[in-house]
Amino acid sequence: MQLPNEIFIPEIARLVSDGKQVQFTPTGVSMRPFIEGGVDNVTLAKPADLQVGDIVLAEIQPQHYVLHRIYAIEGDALTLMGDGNLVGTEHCTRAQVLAKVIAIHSPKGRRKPLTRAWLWRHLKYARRILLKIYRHTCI
Amino acid sequence: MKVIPGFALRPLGNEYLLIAESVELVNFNAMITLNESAAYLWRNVADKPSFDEQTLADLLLAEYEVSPEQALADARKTIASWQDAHLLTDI
Repeated sequence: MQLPNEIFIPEIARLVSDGKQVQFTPTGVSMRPFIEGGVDNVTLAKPADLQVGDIVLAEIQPQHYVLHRIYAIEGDALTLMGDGNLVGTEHCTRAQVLAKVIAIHSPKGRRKPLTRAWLWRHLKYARRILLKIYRHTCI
Repeated sequence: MKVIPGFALRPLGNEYLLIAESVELVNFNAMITLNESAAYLWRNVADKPSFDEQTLADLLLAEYEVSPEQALADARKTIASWQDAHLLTDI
């Protein structure tokens, strides 16, 4: 999920590092079907206890931010991927993770389940079909 | 009137962002942006125990080349928008 307002993110990162929780609406389609860009709100907090399956806000290159899921952790190195992407991963270190998603809310305020998406992460080859069904039925 | 305490004014590109830093959960979807002149006014009244539209008009006159009538009109507009955003409180 690409975040358009790069200028917002450093503020969010600062607030999170101060111990605040921050809510905002990310944009883009790369975290479908778990986060609907421009619609759902995510709540971010300090990136403590990172595990595979967590959704994180990371600065993968200077001023280039993504809100993607952790697909692998090897020591200090993380591999990220958007749930709505069919190919393409990002690599970063733990230090580049600015925040972790602790809740997802629909616009009506309903809390969406925050899973580590074990099955989805292993369904890479079926995603094309499942995302097509999602686009036609849920949007 | 006076401003509700606990807001921080942060530069954001050409504008300024008012962040409710006193709360534990900061909602960026309900964030208020101020242009340069509104931010100037905010900075100058944030710590005042009380101000009114004439206070803002005087601040505008001191900083910008505007007529007293225009300054007062802008001050009223600013106060109305701050009231709409629930940024002000009566003493």
